[in-house]
Amino acid sequence: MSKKNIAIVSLLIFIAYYAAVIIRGYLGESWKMLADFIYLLAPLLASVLGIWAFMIFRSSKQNVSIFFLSAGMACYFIAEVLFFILENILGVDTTPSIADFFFLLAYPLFFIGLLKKILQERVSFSFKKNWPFILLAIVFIVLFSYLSIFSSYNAEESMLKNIILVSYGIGDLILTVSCLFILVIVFEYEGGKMSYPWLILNMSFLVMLVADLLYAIYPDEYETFIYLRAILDTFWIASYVFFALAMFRLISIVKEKQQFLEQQGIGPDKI
Amino acid sequence: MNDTQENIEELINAACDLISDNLGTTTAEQYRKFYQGKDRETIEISIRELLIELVGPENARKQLEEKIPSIKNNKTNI
Repeated sequence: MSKKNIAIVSLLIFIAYYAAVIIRGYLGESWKMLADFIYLLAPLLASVLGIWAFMIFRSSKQNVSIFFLSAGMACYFIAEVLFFILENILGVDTTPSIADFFFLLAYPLFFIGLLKKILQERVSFSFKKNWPFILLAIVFIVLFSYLSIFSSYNAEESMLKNIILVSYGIGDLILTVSCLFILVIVFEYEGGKMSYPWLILNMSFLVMLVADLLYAIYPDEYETFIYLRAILDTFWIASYVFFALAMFRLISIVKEKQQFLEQQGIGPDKI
Repeated sequence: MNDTQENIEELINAACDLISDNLGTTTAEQYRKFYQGKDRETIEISIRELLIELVGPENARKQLEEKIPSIKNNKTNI
């Protein structure tokens, strides 16, 4: 898959999703399933590229971190598919459900992957140098603590549902710290090609955090207003696409070097 | 340092270890083939430039110090 192809596929997912949302707006709720189905293509793309990246880097020192990152994304994809089946085919309440288990499992997997990466690189983290990011992380932590953890608790709901809702808030806190980890990696690789995939991965997680934050503020409106749902879904789709692009960039770095050597007459098959 | 075949082989092994760490064994084995018959200086420049291109000068310096300290002692200016 070339750079051009991945860009076209990503763009087509956005266009198809918006076309389905507009059709739904004109023709009614019976078309909701189409938009939700197209939405699934984004986490599918991210998962496939995550697995591909792991296959490429499985013999490198980055194998564990990429394994956990792609496993986290695979959990998101499974969760999204289960969510789609529960909501659109079975027509049952999606929270609490098995989909929540997979959504929540992704957060610690991402965290472990990034922690492993940082420990492996033995980066020297300077609080003095990185204070703006630490400040930003604190702002996000305070926002999520209030919006996703404290305000999501509802005494009228079941204990299980409350545990799940609060867990999402904790998951977003984990994601916030993960973003900080990624920035540390980006700075570690400053001036090198490897910094770009991690920067794109950071974009992916930041966009996801914004979407989660908006959902925490407008949970009822998300279910009621088609176009607000479309905006939030766009953020989540963008997050998945950024993840896919980050993995693709990592793969491209290896492929470029292999192609260079092949041009010198040294292919992997000749070894 | 005396550029015996053994020394060059050691350097190639260390360079390929670094490449394997960053890009995986398939690419490392391609580079092993690429380095065959090359002199010490060419290999040292190649691995140094490759690492700087991939992970930036600071991380490249760390990796080289750990696996091929002789590059730093000899002629690296990163």
